[in-house]
Amino acid sequence: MSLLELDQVEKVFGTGSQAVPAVRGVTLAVDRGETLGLVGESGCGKSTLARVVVGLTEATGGRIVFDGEDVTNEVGDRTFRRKVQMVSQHPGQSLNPRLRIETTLAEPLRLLGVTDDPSEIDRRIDEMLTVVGLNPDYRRRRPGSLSGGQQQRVAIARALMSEPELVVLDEPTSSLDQSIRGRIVALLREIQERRGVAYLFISHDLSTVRRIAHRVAVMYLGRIVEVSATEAIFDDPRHPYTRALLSAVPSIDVRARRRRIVLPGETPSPVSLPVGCSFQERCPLVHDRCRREDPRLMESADGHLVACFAAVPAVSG
Amino acid sequence: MSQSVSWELPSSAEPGRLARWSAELRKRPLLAVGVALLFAYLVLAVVGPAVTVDPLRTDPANQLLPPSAAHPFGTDEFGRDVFARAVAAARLDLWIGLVIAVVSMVVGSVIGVVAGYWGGRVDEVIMRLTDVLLAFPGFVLALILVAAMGDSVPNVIVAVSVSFLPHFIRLTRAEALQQREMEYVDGARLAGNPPWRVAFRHVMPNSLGPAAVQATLVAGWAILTVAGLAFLGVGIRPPTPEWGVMVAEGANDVITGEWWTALFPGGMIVLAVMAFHFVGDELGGGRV
Repeated sequence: MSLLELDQVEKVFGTGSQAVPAVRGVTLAVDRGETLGLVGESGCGKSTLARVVVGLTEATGGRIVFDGEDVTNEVGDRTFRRKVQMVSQHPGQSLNPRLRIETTLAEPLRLLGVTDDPSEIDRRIDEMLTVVGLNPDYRRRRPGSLSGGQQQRVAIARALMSEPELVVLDEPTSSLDQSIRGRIVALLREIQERRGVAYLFISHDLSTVRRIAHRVAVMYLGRIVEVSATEAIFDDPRHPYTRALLSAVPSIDVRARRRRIVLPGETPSPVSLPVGCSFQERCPLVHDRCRREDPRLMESADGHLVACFAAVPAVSG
Repeated sequence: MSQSVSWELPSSAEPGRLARWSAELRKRPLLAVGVALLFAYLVLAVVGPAVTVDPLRTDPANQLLPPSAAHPFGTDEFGRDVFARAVAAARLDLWIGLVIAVVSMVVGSVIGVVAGYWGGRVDEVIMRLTDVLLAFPGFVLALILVAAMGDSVPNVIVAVSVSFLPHFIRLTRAEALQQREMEYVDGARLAGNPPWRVAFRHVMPNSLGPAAVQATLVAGWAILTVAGLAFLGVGIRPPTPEWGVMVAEGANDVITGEWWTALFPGGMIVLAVMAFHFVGDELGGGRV
């Protein structure tokens, strides 16, 4: 049984002709202790999906099952918050600038009902700062006197305070320098090994995803188009969108360099999607069926899920 | 251990708070003048009444004496020492001005945060009620309220505070509208803060900057309003030593040449309002 299961989750902003479907029927599972990478271009609905999962935004359709229980209507509750936490993209903005680090870190303990004992809270703050690689002396500081990498460590610490089983990481490294990025990824992996926490790691940075994710889901226009083990995605991408996305990753290995696939046209607006596959207008493999019918995620014998009529196992070879 | 990470800490040699303040004051003369004036008023209000004569003692033998060494501001028509009265009034007027500024800032900001953070219908109702308050000139509103509630210092404080509420409601609402979109609000929600706690523990402290600056200006205006009400005979009554009361009492003396009974308390009002204005303006123009 998976830790988190999303079943046809939808999020539509606005109503009527103004309606913007940001997430369109996402079905996805995250197992205990694993890292599921979620990749896709800006505006594809990754962050909205993240907010729906942690309960910051209410889903407009579908079911969210956590640990075998349907929590669709309870994602904002205390018990759920305790188990599912999030780290956001902008560490500097995600911390209240006026509060000392210790105050920020104490909040989840008190407010999520972990402990009220001041000495226990103190102990846990020191311990957690050490876990994320900060000197416990930092507890008296305010976010403004920390660097971006340090702020992100504090944000990670806050997310871990309530000992969650799943942490949604929404582009946790994309606003950081390359050198710090690597260290944060290493820290996240180390924490996962020690604590068995599962990650939903959202990013448009494919090389980072490759380093941390066990499985990868590719999102396009509010829909998951491909899911598989990380190596399978990178070595054998089957959805034409995934192939194009991967071809854009710079590589220093000349032999490994792929031919760059440049997709024609723009990503269509989610407000006016065509009938059939939403990728049809840019797809090199498009055929008649794609214009009539929207492909669902189909599983091949090796467990590789792909939502494309042209990418059935025979084609993918 | 602490040695090995110390390079990451900001240098402890950075100038202290006092040094930074004095540097700031040297760069901004108006701020310095305002601060100096307020400090002078503060000293006057705190120690003044202890060293001057009784501001209420009448002396029929020494009526309307011009300023002299014995009576620096002269005496009034009852022979009371104008300097003693003006100093005693400083304590009352500054106190009332500050209380009004704080009361209207706290109440107005709470209402403003509620409107800005919750938005929707709550915001709609609050803003329309605020518009009603704004429909009256502040001074007239205060006048009506005191007239309705009766003359007393607490009533004056309440009435004038209410007349300044709209400033704070609007300022804090606008700020809260911006702050609620900040990512730290999501962080606070994820950490388990219920909505009221997000609003008052997280959004409100981050939305008070403009209101705090405004409060400095309001303290000055409040003194002017209170004195104005007293001048019209509303709120604070004679023989209480209060600047507005004194100006009212001395107004007739000006015509007959005894300018000091009204001019000195009037000057005290002007300087006090100016002092608050300089400080408020400079703080607002600098870094809010």
